[in-house]
Amino acid sequence: MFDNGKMYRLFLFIKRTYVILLFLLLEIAALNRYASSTAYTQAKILARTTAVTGAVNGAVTDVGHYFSLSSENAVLTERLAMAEARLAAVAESEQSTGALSADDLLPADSLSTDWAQYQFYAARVVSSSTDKPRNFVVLNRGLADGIREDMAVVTPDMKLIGYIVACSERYSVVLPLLNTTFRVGGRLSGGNHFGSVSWDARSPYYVTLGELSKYADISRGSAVTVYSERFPEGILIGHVEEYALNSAETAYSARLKVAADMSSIYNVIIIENTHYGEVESLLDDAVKRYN
Amino acid sequence: MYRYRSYVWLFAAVMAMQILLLDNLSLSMWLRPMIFPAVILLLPIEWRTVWVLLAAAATGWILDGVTGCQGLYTASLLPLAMVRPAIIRLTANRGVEQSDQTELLPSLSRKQLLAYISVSVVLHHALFFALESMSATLLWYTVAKIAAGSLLSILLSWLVASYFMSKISAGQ
Repeated sequence: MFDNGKMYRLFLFIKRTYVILLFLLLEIAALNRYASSTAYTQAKILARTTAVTGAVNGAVTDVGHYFSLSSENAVLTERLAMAEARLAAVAESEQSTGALSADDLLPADSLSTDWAQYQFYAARVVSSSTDKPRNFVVLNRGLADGIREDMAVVTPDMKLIGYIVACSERYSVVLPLLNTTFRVGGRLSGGNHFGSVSWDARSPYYVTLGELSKYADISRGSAVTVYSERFPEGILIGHVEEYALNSAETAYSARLKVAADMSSIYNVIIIENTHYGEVESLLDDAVKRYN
Repeated sequence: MYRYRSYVWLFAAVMAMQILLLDNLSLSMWLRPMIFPAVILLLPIEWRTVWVLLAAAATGWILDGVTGCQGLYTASLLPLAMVRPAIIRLTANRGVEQSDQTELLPSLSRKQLLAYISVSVVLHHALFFALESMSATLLWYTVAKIAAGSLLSILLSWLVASYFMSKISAGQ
């Protein structure tokens, strides 16, 4: 308990500093209001604060990761087996014809992708959340590692996580699928129809594919992959769980089960489309000229 | 007795000009004039900092609400209210504790008034645009916006201050 002398000194301290305290209180309230006003400001401030808190978050995440090593190993082993199978096919092709086939070199599910335009970086998750309407993921790679805004982020088995929206020197912030401001094109497998994928913050396991043409050949279990310049082809978003035509019967809206387990992501791959800037500036130019 | 009615008119006129005119102007991506800091700069100098802080918070809160900026205006205006006595001490080369507005602000020379407004506006704009961009990669873009925006804002704020000071002096 405070005795009278301590209470008196406390009152004196408050009397001497109340203007500064009031200023700090009002400034923090204003900054907090501004920081939470948009996803952009949230991500930018998260990138700045992570420069300070990143090491602590990283250590805590490392401990948690220790207990999920077995499942990560299973995924990596599977990827290794696929890579070895492809290598064997290449060796066989070399022996029989003396030439390499593109089919041998490229991933089977994305033969139409020009992989030379993509660069890959490995990263680890420092912190993430799935319980808010606007979730973010912080990675342990930043500007110093060549990471820039707009790079794609996927799991090691090529499932969509999100894309980078802010970077500090050593860390970067990802706008993930589980953020209500996230939007990406989603293409239905077995066709060229696409719609817009978004999250309604109801469940971390489901997202919505809207504005899908009523002529699309949709069925329960159909895979939906990313349709965006940021990502290579074949990046899996999820599978159709249920679907229905809208009230005007002009388009489908489908509920997708998210492919990546967003609550346990740890190792991720950052993908840079080296042509992305060129595509964006071309698009900007066209919009300016014809809008 | 100070002319509080003049301050109410100043507040209403500056806010109306900012919200109805300046915020709707599309001069250039570099030019974003802001004269609302003048409301805080021209408050009576003998006002205690706590009241100036509350006035700045109220002004910022109104502008945040009207423009949908959610805290940006308030966060950039509060530090200006806090350092206002130091700026005027620096530019007027005298203490402000025993002075009052009727003696000090109208008694400033044109050069001193311009210096007081310039330092304050540049400080405010630097905070405002730095908070708005929050990006090191946009540093030069932000610096250019601060420089260009400040020039226009200083000119407009100086005109408002000169007119207001002349009215206050005439009424004394």
